[in-house]
This record gives sequence, C-alpha cells and structure tokens, in this order.
Amino acid sequence: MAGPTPEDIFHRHRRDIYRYLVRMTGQPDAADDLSQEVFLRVVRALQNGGPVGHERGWVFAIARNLLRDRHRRLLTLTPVAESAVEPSTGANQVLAFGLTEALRGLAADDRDVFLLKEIGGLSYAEIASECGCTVEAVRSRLCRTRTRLRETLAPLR
Amino acid sequence: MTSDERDELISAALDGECVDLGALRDALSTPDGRAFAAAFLLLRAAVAADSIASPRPGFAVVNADRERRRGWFLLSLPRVPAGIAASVAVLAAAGAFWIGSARPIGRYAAPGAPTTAAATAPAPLSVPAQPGAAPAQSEDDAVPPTPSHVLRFTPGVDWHEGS
Repeated sequence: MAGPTPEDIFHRHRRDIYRYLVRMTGQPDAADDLSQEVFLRVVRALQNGGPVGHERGWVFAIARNLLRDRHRRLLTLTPVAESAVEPSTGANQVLAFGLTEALRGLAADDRDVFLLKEIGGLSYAEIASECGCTVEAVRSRLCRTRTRLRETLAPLR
Repeated sequence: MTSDERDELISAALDGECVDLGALRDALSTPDGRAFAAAFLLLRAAVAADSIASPRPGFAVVNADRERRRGWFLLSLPRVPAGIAASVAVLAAAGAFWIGSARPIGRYAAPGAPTTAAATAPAPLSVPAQPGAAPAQSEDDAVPPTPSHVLRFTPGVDWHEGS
C-alpha cells in the first residue's frame, strides 16, 4: 500500500502547523515562510523514504527544528508581544485577544509544550521526546501552564 | 492527594493519557477538581475556536527538486469558478496569439511602400521553453507575412502637429 502523498500530509496538517508557528513566532509572515519550508522538507523526506514514526509528530518535529534554526539565526526569541498577530473576529474577540496576551506571558518552553499539545495534539511521550524532557515533566508543565492561563483569562469571562 | 496532584491527574486524563481511574474518580468528586476540569475544557475550546491562524490562500509549495524542474506543487489555490478560469484562459491565449502575430506598422511593408512615423508594436513576448521542448527560432529565421494593406498618414491631413 502506497504511503502518504505530500498533498495528503499538507491537507491534514497545514492548518495546525501554521497555527502552531504563528503562535510561536507571533508573526504571520514568518509563520507563512516557515510553513512552506516545513512542507518542502516533507516533500524531500518523502522522496527519501517517508515519515519517521508517527506522521503528525514527525511533521511537528520538522516545524520545531525550523523554529530552532530560525531562533539561532535571529539570536533572540521573537516575543509575541511585538507580533502582528491580530485577534480573531467574532463573538469571542475579547477572549481571543486575551488568549494572545496570556500566551505572550508564558515562558517560551511552557508555550511550546502547551501549543504542541493543544494545537499539535501530540502525546506526552512525543512532546517529551521533542522537548528533551521526561513525560512527568510534560505533565506537570502542562498543568502549571493551564492553571496560569486560567488565572489570566478568568477576568475576561 | 494534594491539589497539584489532583489537577495534574485531571489534566492528564483530559489529555487522553492513561491514569488511575480510581484516583480520577476521587479527583473529580471534589468541587475544586470539577472546577479545574471545567476550566480546562473552556480553555481548550478557546484555543480550538481561535481562528487567528488560518493559513492564507495562495499557499504553494515548489517541488524541492529544482534541477529536474518537475514544476510547481500547487497544494492550495484560491477557489476560482471553472467558467471564469476558462474565460481567463481563452482571453490569455487570444491575447498571446494577437501579440505574437502583430507586426509594427510599416515594418514589413511591401518593397517601395513608404514607411510611416507610427509607433511600432512591441516585440512578441518570449515564452520560456518547456522542458524537453525544441529551442525557439530566432527572429531572423521568421518570414514576415505579406502585408494585406498599407496605412498612410499624411501630415496636415490625417494628423497635425500638437494634436
């Protein structure tokens, strides 16, 4: 049975990859560029043999590697506070804006773990492997991050 | 069970991780535990509903193997009705044909016919060769068509200075 095609992988993951990258960089343009690079690498990797392990985890691993490379190039993390990220439109605009601000207030590692879980849907084991920590550390970090976000967003409800 | 342990247990359970069901039942039996679970689900819903990050249209991926020029992977394009796309394609083809066949006035006039001061038409657009296609002929090789008629503009009659 043939493996996944680039188009399959693109359609399955493009939205969440972009969401993850835009939340991590705070810059839609940078997220656009990085997203394109992610799927370019997917194409190249498929030509060389295909995904390694779980597909979604593999695609998000590529995204994280690109983020790391970008941060190294820029020599600094781009704070979400300086981003051009605009809140979504709709009834929950206030909450959406609050979420942007709340994520901005997190440490980069906490934000990364949180987004890998909430947007990436990765398991604790996959996140631990990606982030170079234990499953227990992922578990406690996620809980702590959620508690903090809950406290930050509570006044907006 | 401390409050941190309780919240971690509920958080892990709602993340789909394996947890002790008895401990989970105990955690959810407390008001604080249920409040944490509710807040967790509201937060998850807020993140899921966050439409900030919809990829913009026109997202395209170029095939990585540029040397072999396999062409573009157009993995996402703006949706265009087929009728409009077909009309644009026909107009583009007609325009390309017109540009390619148009000749500057007087440039290929019959021998002895007067040339004019009218502006010449732009040179035909060059189309990049497709992989494997034969090389395009140069302009020197092209044989101009026989003019069907000659336009003459007489100064003072057909046009005036400053008009």
